[in-house]
Amino acid sequence: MINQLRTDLYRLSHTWGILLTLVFTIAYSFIITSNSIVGGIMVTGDSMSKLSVVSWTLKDGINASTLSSTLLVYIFIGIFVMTIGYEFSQKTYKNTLVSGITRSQFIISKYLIMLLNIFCLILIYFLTSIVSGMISSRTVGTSWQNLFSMVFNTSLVIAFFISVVFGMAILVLLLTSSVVIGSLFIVIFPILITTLHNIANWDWLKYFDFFSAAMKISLKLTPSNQLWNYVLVSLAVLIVTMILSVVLIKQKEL
Amino acid sequence: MEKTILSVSNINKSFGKNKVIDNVSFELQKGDIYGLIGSNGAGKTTIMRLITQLSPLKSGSIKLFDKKINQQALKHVGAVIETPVAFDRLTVRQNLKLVAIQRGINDKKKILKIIKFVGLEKKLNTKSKNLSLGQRQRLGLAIAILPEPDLLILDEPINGLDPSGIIEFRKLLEKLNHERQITILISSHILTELYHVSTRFGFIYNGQLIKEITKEQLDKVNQSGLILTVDNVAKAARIIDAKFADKFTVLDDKNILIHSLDIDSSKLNQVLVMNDVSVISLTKKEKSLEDYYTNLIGGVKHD
Repeated sequence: MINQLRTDLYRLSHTWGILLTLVFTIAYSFIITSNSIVGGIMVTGDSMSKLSVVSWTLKDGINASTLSSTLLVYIFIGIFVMTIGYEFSQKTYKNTLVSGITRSQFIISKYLIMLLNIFCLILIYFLTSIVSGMISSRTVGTSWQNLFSMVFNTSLVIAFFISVVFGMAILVLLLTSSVVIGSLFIVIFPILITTLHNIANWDWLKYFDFFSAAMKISLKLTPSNQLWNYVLVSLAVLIVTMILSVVLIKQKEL
Repeated sequence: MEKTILSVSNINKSFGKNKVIDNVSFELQKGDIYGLIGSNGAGKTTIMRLITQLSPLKSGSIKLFDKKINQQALKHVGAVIETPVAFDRLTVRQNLKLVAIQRGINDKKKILKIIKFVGLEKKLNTKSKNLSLGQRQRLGLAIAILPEPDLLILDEPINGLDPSGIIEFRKLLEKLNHERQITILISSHILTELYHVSTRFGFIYNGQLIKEITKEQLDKVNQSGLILTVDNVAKAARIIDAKFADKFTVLDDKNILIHSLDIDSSKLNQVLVMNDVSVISLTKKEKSLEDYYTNLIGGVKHD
């Protein structure tokens, strides 16, 4: 499996798409922090109020970037397409699966590569925010150690929650054999969950609103008694999705 | 002693109610080039997909080196199934580098050697999407042989190749088989080409393996014919029946096929002439693999 991870890293590093994703991520972070604006698809009034200060510190920049991180998922769709989509659209899985790798190793390695890439890009996203703030001569707003610790933890949390949706997209891709539908799922899922949550008023749906969960946990807006519910639901969804994907690919006519 | 590389036993495959592979069994010995012959939809590709586990096997067993085939065992297999696949946006070298990493090959020179071996050295830095079909076939072969497999599975590898490409590809396969002792399972619609490269043949019809034959046996079967053209077929037939023990068939009012090349043609000519039968011609008939296949399938259809 290590070889497969190395293979995917080599391939991605030789793909223009990953460079474009990196450029968009840096540009997006730079624009948010430099102009003191907040974007995102599920930004709430509560969270916004934290940033209603006149002049931002580097810490405020990180918070703003966290709030705006919901949009990152659309930038990261390319990672899904490049990591596993190409294998199916170009049928190169035929070479991969005859290389001695098991189906479960194939699925897990693809997930891990996506997680790793998302984590690294989010880390770069926050580091860009810090650099942009420094260029604008902003103060740190906390200790440097706290700031970096915050960046690392937030990156980890956001990357994990985004990766859950990407993991589900792998299952959709295997079910439909369509990269387009798999990618569309990533776009539609958060919107669908939020809309359903608002219309149906099903409180439990909030645990499946992975992007908002990432944001709330990072900004410490989640009540401490609900924190583990979010984590456990996400982990359970991820594990079930991975198992179903492995079962499906074992039964699938490839 | 012959070493069995691949053993396929009683495999079956159905898609819904449609049975596409029906109780197929065959073996490949080390050094074999086994030509799988059959029409479109006969089941050749499905057999190859079952061997490479791209299609799940529900019934029967497939053994590689006497062990039940699994993903680990596939490390010893190189395959090009249906069409050669490579990442479009990567160059020839990058695609092979990718396979080298995947298979844990650290010898950097090996990639260049393989590229040279398949004749793609001038396309080293060309993106896979810009290669011609023939060049893609070569890249597919390079990807399959880079890990030095013991068994190479090639599904219609000469599709789309021009005549010179076909000849070069044949030489490549012979080289792989002779120099590297790679056992090859190959399918193709171009039977003349398959005849040239294969040492054994398996004929698939409607998902069933209806016949297995070695090249030697095939040659023997195909060469055993003399066409005798005479002015009086009935008289000639009586003479052959009385004086020669060989089997023969009256084809029409002028021609008789004698199913043997061992018959003394000059004596036959002499005896016929002495009995007032004019011999217009006596020609050796060599049937091709196509003829054999057509007869075989024709026979099965009539059954």
